[in-house]
Amino acid sequence: MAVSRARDGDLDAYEVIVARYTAAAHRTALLFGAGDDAEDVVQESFVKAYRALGRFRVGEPFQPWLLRIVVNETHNLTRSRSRRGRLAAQLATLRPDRAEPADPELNAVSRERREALLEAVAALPDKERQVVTCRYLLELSEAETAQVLGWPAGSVKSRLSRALSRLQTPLAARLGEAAGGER
Amino acid sequence: MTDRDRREVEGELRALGRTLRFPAEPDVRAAVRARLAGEPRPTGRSARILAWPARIPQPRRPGPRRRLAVAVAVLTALAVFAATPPGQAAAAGLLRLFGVEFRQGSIPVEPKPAPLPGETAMSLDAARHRVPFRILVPRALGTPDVVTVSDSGRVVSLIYGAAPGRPKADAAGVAARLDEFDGTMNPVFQKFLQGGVEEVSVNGSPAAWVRGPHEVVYLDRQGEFRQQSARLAANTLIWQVGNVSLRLEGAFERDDALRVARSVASG
Repeated sequence: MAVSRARDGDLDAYEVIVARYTAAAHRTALLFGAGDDAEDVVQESFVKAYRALGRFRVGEPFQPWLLRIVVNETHNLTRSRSRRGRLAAQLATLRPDRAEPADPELNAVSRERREALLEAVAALPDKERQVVTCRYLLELSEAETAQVLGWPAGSVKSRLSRALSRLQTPLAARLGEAAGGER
Repeated sequence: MTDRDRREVEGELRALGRTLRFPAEPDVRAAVRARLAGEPRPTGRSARILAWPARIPQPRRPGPRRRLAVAVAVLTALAVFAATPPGQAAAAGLLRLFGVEFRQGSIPVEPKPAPLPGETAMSLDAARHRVPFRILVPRALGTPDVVTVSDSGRVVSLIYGAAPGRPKADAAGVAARLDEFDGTMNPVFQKFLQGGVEEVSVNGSPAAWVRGPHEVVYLDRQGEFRQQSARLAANTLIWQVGNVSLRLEGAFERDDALRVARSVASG
């Protein structure tokens, strides 16, 4: 509804869409490494999305369509700079919250495990990290992940499997450590 | 790698995503609008030949004062919204707070509104394992009579029947309903108001009080409006504790609703 009105040039309707999807766009930009430029990426993405609305098919989910633009904008921004080290540092700033754990059962051991898992995700090869970010950290479906990353569904599945195997090994090691630490 | 190992890693990754600490999202509405004003209606084809526009530099917000800044922004938004007369332009009449979108205006409601998507009753303990946030229970209302989880754990609802110390029950026998959800992601409910929102405070944090019947509709995970869920809501208090948004609805007067809100266990 809001999308089809915005397509007809209704900026009031588009403002509703911007308000509605800003949080998801901002998280996506941060997780893909936009860092301090996340706000600029979000702004740029909404401007580009508006100009491209003619290509959006009304009735389809808007969010994955928008997030594809956000991911591309983030890549445009980060392509030129040395990203590897920065990305890990940026992901580290999103470390699980110590002050206000969302889960009351989250004890020190599981918090450490989550921080170690975050490091392991940051260290994954680019494409595997991207697919893990979409599928689990942003909790998109496999089909949405394929749309956001612009990959065939088969690539999403195979890269997810590889990434999960890679992450499973350090996880098992950490589980061992955690059990040892409690003794 | 066995299926069990895979599920375990998947579970840990989802849990990780839910505990990441994201900075508050920026409000880019005015900047986006300023850049789009005067453009022809979108065609989809012209976008390809437009040059990359210069990014508008944004002032960086100071980190340590974030909490205060957020509180001030909330209060300012409430004040602006309350001052907007009904029927004003849609853009002026949009307010987003605590995962709820407030609009000026009215929508038709369904004669038999549908429950939230996949709404299922279960015990409070079972619900605690189904939602990705901590369920908060106000002591002032006693034990909820029914607990439901909707949309694969996106919303938990505590439903209270008639009992002493609770407001008068409605025709369906519901005295109070408390919906809880992660208020930091996409909005979950949209409310249509004829008047404004009254700015109140719960334990020092800003909260919104909506008096009088108003239409409420569920926004699904894709942000799509679920018309079949549109119904008329009673007086409602909306506030946030950590990342959890709470929406308390019933035949409460404001001070009674605030008393219930203050009785939410914080530890």
